[in-house]
Amino acid sequence: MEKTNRISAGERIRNFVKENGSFVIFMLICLLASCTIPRFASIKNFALILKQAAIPIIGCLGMTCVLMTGGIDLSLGYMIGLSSISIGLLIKTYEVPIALSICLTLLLGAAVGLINGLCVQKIRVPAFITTLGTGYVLLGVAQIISNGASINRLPQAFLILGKTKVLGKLNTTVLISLAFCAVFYYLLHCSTFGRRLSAFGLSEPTSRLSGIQTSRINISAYVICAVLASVCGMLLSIDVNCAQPTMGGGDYTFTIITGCVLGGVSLFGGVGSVPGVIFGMLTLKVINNCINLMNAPYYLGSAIQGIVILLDIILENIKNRKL
Amino acid sequence: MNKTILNMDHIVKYIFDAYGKPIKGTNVKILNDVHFDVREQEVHILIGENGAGKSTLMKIIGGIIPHDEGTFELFGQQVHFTNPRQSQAMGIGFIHQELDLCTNLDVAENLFLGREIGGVLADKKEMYRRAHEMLMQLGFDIDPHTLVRDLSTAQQQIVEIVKAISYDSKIIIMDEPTASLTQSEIDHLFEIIRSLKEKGVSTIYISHRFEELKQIGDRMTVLRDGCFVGTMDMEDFTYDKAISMMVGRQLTQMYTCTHKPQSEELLRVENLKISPRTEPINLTVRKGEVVGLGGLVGSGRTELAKSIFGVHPYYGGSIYYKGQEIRKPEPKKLIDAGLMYLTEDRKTEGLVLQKDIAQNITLASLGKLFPSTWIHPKTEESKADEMIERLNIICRGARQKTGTLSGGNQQKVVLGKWLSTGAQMLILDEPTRGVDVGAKAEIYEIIDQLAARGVGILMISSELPELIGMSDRIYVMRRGTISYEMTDKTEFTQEGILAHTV
Amino acid sequence: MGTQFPPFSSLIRGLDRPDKKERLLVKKAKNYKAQIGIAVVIVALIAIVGIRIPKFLSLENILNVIRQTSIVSLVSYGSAMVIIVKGIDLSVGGLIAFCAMVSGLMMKAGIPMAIAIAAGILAGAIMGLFSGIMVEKLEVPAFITTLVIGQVANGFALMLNGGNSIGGFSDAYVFIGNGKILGIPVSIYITLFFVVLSYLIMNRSKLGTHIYAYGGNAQVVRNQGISTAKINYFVFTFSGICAAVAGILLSAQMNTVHPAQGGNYQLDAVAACVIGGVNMAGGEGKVYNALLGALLIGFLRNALNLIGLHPYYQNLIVGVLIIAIVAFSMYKRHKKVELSKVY
Repeated sequence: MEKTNRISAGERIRNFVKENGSFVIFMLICLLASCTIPRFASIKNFALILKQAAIPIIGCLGMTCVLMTGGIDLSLGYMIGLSSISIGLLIKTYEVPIALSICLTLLLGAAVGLINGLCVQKIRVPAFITTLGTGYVLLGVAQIISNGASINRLPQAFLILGKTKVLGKLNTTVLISLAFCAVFYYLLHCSTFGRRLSAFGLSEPTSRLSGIQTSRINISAYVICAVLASVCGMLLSIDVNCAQPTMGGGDYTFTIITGCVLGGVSLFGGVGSVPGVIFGMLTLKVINNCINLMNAPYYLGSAIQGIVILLDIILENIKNRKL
Repeated sequence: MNKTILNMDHIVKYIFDAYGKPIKGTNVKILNDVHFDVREQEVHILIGENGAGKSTLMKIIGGIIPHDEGTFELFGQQVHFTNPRQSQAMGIGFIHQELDLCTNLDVAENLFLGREIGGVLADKKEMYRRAHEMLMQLGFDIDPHTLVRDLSTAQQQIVEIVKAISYDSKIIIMDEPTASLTQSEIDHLFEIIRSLKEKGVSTIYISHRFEELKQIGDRMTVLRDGCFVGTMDMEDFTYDKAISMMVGRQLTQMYTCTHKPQSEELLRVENLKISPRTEPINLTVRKGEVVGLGGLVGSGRTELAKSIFGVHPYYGGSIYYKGQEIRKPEPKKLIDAGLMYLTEDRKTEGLVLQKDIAQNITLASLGKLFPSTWIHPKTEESKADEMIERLNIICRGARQKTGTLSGGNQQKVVLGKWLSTGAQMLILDEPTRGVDVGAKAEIYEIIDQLAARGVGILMISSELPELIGMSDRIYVMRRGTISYEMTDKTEFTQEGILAHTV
Repeated sequence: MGTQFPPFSSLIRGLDRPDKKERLLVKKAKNYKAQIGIAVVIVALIAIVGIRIPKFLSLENILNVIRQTSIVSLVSYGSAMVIIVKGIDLSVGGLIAFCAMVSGLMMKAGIPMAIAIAAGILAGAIMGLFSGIMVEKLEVPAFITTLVIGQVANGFALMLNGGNSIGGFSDAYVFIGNGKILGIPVSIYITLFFVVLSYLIMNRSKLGTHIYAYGGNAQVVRNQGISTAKINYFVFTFSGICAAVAGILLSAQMNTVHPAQGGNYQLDAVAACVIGGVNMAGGEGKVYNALLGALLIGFLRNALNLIGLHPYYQNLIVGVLIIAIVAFSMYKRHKKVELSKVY
């Protein structure tokens, strides 16, 4: 094995940026913010950003799996709503033990993911149509079972799962998020599942002819995504101490997708990185944070988010053409 | 003798990329000093083996790719086409095998696509009237309101022919037109071609169905390995003459054959049909045997391989591997049992081009190599290094992306994938296509070594010398079934094999 | 055009077929299969519900439903065109809010209504064109492009007026939304105008044939030298215009511009198209069938309301309908492909 020729410094930097784009963007934005906004660069603020990013990052992990198959899950936000109201109903209204309630809610996610996966894989309905449809079905179901009402003041035993203070400024939700990141780092980067998933997204015929069970992989991606959405729903309910059928929603799905795209996940499949989406989502939350600190109106956030992802897609495409 | 309306001389075409431009740095010629001419009012047949250059030549005439060297004279003018519309404007009509129609539109809309009648609003009434007139004048009673997808293949072809004539085509190229037609439809087509001839439209007819050629052709040109062999009048046509013209090449000595087939049967296919309309196939491969599978493109060889491997449906029949029947073949099941399939198209079905050598080599054996699901990079790399060494893959290392390798090395990576998974029965589909000579010889050696160790090999190939040089037995396929089995090595001649492919 | 060929009596070969007259009638009936099917369902729905609840059948109710449905049907014409070229337009919700906000703000600023409305429509056209450019030039898949553009438009709708609604427009504006001419709501006239326009474009113009051809087989279209860019730009721009008109009409009906009024209109638009037989695989479906699909959904929602079923059930049912219909049509297509595997 010979080493390639010496690479120039400029090329080294370009390679690094290409490989770790989301990290670079994140650092740049933090740098910019630190210089221009006085209250940005403080431990308290960073902790706040981490806490805000913790839950969406879990959603991004799930969405990444689906995006890597070349599909998409537009029902994610509505799954969050359904799982939120479900956990509320189970724990508070029907007084089911907490552990069991959590299991049931996760199972619910698995069931929804299974339906999505089967429609996409077996019946070959395009992913965006399937999940668009199931999304609204989930919204409807959530509203029906709750009669449109939220459930407030959840039991303390449930809340401590997420709200317990850790290291002074952080909470258990952040730890849970970190745990998921670790698990998914392994899953996507180091495990055979991740290898198969990525191969499937890049070349379905090759994967199938190499003995990979493409049907299982495709369906499991959707199951994973929905289960993780379920987790997000539960954690969000803990966060705001309220179970709502309208938790999450279409806008939340869009935020998650933006985080993934910023994190370097390709919409065509096969490419995805856990550190990438972590920094992608962190970048989004930093932007939101800056908007808050500058006392700019809240809705600026959603417009900027849209523009950010637009720019990213355009730049990505131009880059691909150039190569 | 009729006037010559198309004349091509000394045509050279180098191997080209997706845009028709010659690939830099190579000197491989797909067409080498080719001559081709067409006269007024004739049906000129073009034959040649797979890869002889027929379709490339037609693409040049049709304007899809330009010729690199040589002269191309059409109706007295020198031409050098750079896009299909120029060719169409000069009177060439091209009817491809995959018909150039929008199946969701009706006949008239297809006929007038791009040149609709009317101003801002289309004059539909006039369009249907003219379409009907066109069809009637040519003697076809097809309702122009019919959706193309509701027409039979023969009728769709007729629409294409009408379209070509409506563009004032004087020469119509038909590429394998009879492939999916019934006998009566073929007869009808021939009548059409004959009447076109009477009216001054010549046809270039590409086909390898010898039994039809004498009925319809006036002259025949034979291409071989990109070279022009000759043109003969159909009056002088005989099977043997045509075949020897298609084949007549020297057999080079680059095949190694040190293995001896064993008697134990490894793979057996009984009465298998690859489509409802074809005849059953019977085939066996023994341990340590190299069985060649020849046939022209479209004869069903890849379909057979894919049926065995479980990625193509089959109709009736059974597959036996190591004596056991395989009821529902599935890639994973077969790979685990040692039966593997090296696909025809390595770029889309054999490799993940964006991934590196090591990742591709381990792709089929992830479960076996990493039972704990943890992928050890070092294990992966050492497996890859093993294959790189054994197959002499020329690369910068196990982590080089396969998309950047040459064709021959890419093929070796795919081979490495199957070898490292422990193949006991290998189906190879065109293993040396697009591979340079040096790598070819190495691959032959590898195949021989595998057979010597008891691996059974079914080798699909369009290269007759390769089949002859490597096989212990040869099956020849034609129209979806086996037409002949050669067990005696003295029978192995290019002419002999080719005779059974047509 | 073409070489003149005298008829060849030796070649006239008839295909086995029934009498020509009969064939034409049967064929015509087949063409309208989809319309007839939906019309039957609508009539059945009206009958079933009408028997239970007479109010459903009142002229007032029916006109009201049709008036409300006009929003969805407007959006669905544009969406149908996009679906026919194998795309989808998920930006309509955002555009409904954004374009209405643009024209609303202008009217409040004193600009004459006609110009303000024109500006709103222009805004929609520009956003649509932008989507079309991204799909054509950058080859970004339509669903993500329009999803993003929709979000951006939503964001703009919020930004332009600080997240606030606008209310209290001129009488003329309110008349557009709620007035009647000759007893029929103005909204219906507007919808009909667009139906006729869509019909003329898709079924009577060269562009329409090209659009269908592109959805059927893009390669053939390119081979004929037809510009695919124009086709893509057109369909997305038209969809943007439809969404803009729908948004402005919606605000006229409510006499309010609410930044979140875009809601989930893309869902109903897709549902209307799908029910109307516009095939997700492209190349098929009559745009005016989307009108029938929209009517069906409109009446369905209204019926569910009157029965007393909570609005929550409506989204659910629409969602299930979409999946069921698309799945069914995909399934049918698969069967067809497998059977037609001619060797």
